Amino acid sequence: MTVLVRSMNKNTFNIFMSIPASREKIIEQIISEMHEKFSKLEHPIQKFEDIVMTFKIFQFELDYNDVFEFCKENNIKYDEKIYKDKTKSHFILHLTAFYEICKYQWRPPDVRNSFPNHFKGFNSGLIFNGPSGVGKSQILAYLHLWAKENNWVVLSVHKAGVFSKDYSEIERHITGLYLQHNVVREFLLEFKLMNYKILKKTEVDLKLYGKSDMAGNRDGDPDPIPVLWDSDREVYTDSWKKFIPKVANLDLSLDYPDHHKRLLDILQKPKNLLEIVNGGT
Amino acid sequence: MCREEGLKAAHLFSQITNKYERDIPYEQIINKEFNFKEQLKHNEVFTMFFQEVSHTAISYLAKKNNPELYRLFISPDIFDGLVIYLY
Repeated sequence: MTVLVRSMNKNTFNIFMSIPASREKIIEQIISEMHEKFSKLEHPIQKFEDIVMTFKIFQFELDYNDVFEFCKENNIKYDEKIYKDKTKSHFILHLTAFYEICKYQWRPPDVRNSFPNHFKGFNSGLIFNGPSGVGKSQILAYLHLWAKENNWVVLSVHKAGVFSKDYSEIERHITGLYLQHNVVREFLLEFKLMNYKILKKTEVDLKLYGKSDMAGNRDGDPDPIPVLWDSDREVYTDSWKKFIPKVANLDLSLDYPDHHKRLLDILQKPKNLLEIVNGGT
Repeated sequence: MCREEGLKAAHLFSQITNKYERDIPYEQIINKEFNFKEQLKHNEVFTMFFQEVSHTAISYLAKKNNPELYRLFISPDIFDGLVIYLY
C-alpha cells in the first residue's frame, strides 16, 4: 500500500489511483498476479523483499473511460483539453525503485515524526544526539530536575570515563567481573547526596535483601560470564587460561578472601536504603 | 524493538478515520491542479490516500471471500505493530 501511495507522485497514475473504480482494477490486478505466484507457497509472504524480487515490475493498462464515468456520476467539471484524444494509457510500476524501503533503518527524527501523540515508547531509553553546543547537557539538567520533582531516583553519571578510560584500582572477581572499589565509593557518595530523601524514606524488604554476592550476582541467577562452546573456532570461551604461564595461573580467591563475602556480612538488618548506601561507602 | 512496518502500522492505527471524514479533492486531481509531489509530504494527506487504497483492497478481499487470498496477506509485521501499540 505504501508503495502504491508513494507512486502517486507520477502523472496520470495518480488520477487513476484516486478514482475508486480504476483503483479497484489496479488492486485486483496486483492481487491476482500475486495469487498466481504465491499460492503454491507453504507459508505466507514474510518480507516485502520477496514481492520485489519475484515481480520487479507491474504493468497496468489504464482506461480513461473510468475517469469520464466518475466525472459524470459526481457532476465534476473537467478541462476537456487535458483529455483530448485520450483513451488508454500504460503505466509500469518499477518495484525495484522501492527496494530501499526493505533495507531502510529508522533514525531518531523519523521515529519522532511517526510516533502517535500518546505513544509512550519501548521503555528502552533515549539517546541525545547532536553537535556540541546545541543543548544536550542543558536538556539533561532540566530532565534531572524534573525527575527529582516527580520523586524519581536519579543516577547522574557525569564522568563516564572513570569506568573505562581513567586509571583506578581494578580487581578481578572470581565470577569474571571487574570491581572498582574507589570509583564505586565516590559514585555511591554522589548517589547518596542526590537522592537523600528518597533513600531515607524507602524501607527495605528483608525477604529480598542480602541474596547476592559482593559483585552483585543474585543467588540462583546464571553465571555472569558463562563458559560457552564456540562452534566456529571449536574452543571453549575460557580456553585462553591454557596459555597463561604456570606462575601467573593462581587461584584468585586465595589472594582475595573478600570475594566470598556477602552483603549480609556487612549489614544484617538495614531499615532503609540509606543504611545500605552508608554500608557501601 | 519493533520493525519499521510495525511502527508504521502502530502510527496508522492512531490516525484511523471514517470514510466520510476523508475529503479527497477529486475536482482538483482530475484537472491536474493537485500537486501530489508536494502534498504527499504532508502526513495527513499521505494517510488519507493510504487509507483509501487499503480500504479498496480490504473491500475487494471481502467481496471475493476467498481464504487463499486472505492467506497471502497474513503478515507477521501487523501483529508486531499491534503488540507495540498496546504497550
